[in-house]
Amino acid sequence: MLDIALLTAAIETPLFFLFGFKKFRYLIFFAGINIVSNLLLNGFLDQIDFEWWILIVSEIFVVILEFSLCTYFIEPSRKLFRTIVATNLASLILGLIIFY
Amino acid sequence: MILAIQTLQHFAVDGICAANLARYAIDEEFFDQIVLYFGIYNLIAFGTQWLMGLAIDRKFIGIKIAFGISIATLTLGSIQSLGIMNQAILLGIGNSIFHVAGGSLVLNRYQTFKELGIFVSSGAIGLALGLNGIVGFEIFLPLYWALTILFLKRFHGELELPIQTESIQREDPKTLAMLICAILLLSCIVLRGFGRGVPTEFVMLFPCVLAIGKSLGGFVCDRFGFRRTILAILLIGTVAIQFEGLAPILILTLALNMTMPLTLRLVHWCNPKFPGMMFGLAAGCLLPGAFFHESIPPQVTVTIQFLTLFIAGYLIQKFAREDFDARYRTSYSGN
Repeated sequence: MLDIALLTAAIETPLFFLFGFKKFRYLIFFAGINIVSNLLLNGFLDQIDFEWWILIVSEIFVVILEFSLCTYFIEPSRKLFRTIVATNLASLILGLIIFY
Repeated sequence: MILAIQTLQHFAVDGICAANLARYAIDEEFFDQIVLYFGIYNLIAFGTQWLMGLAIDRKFIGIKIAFGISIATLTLGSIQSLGIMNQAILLGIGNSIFHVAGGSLVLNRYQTFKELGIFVSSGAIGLALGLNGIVGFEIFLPLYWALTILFLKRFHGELELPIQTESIQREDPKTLAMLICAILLLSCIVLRGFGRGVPTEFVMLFPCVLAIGKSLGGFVCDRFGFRRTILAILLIGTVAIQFEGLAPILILTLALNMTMPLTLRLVHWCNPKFPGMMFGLAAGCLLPGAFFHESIPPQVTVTIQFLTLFIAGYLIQKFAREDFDARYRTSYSGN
């Protein structure tokens, strides 16, 4: 479970950097947030029968969770929200390519 | 002192109800009958609290009268010859009215979280001692009598406090925002109601963890602030879920129960003129968990609890109480 979370963090954190959140502190926190949210998401998906709608709803919750957690160290803004949506979309697509 | 007595009263009241129901269950040979009467008790004890609370808030029932009714009903409910149906109803009423009377007093007297955590924590211990037959109603009932007499004599003049709304509420709280906030918080409580322990050889282990969690939540919130507390609960819960065994389950249970004083206080702030009703509504949200034994993945519970509390806290700070958790405004100052 942790390896998938680390892989996701490895995909999303550089994207977060590319979207303009360049401070080292931001990146460390964001990587941590990614690991937490992915441990929760993958732990949940492991316990249920896979359905596409569940995956999509779960991803929406992950975006909201990551945005909420990001507000602990970055001022909330539309840019932050868009960045989180984009990084999660990217990791979701990449994850689907890798695992399916 | 008043809080200590109320906490002990809570311990005794839950103990009386549990001990009487356990006394019946031991002699009953049909399991469905036990489920039925426990269900009736739960329905009255949890489901009527909002109504009792409203009656207390509206001054239809005074606090002293409420304690009097609880003593009378709990005493009558302990008489086995009345029959289990009457006992379940009387115990349910006594339990319900005590909780809202005690809860609204604590909500009104204090403006911080720890007192609520302490008050609610002792119930789990009394419940477990009574249900497991470790302590009988013969101990709990005189204890409740003694505590209530002491309480009413000692704090006679302090019980009808004016409801403190001025210091906690903006003049123009946004009703819709507070409604959304209340729904979020109540759904968080519903979710927590589905939490279950696991069977262990130590029957008091989980009740003690529940009690510690509830108390700890209030202290941590007062010391470190609301936002940091819910973050800590999320992180502790996430780590605990990754491991198997009794210890991680205990840690997860502890973390999830730390939210209890937080939800109660915020639910009160959604509608501070009705502390009894809001306390009762929160208690009523435990009913689904008492009747439906669905298993919810802990990841869902941890995530939804965090999100509902986070959003509710934001709404409270923005629309009702500007001084709530200064860290909402200063958390970015170091960037």
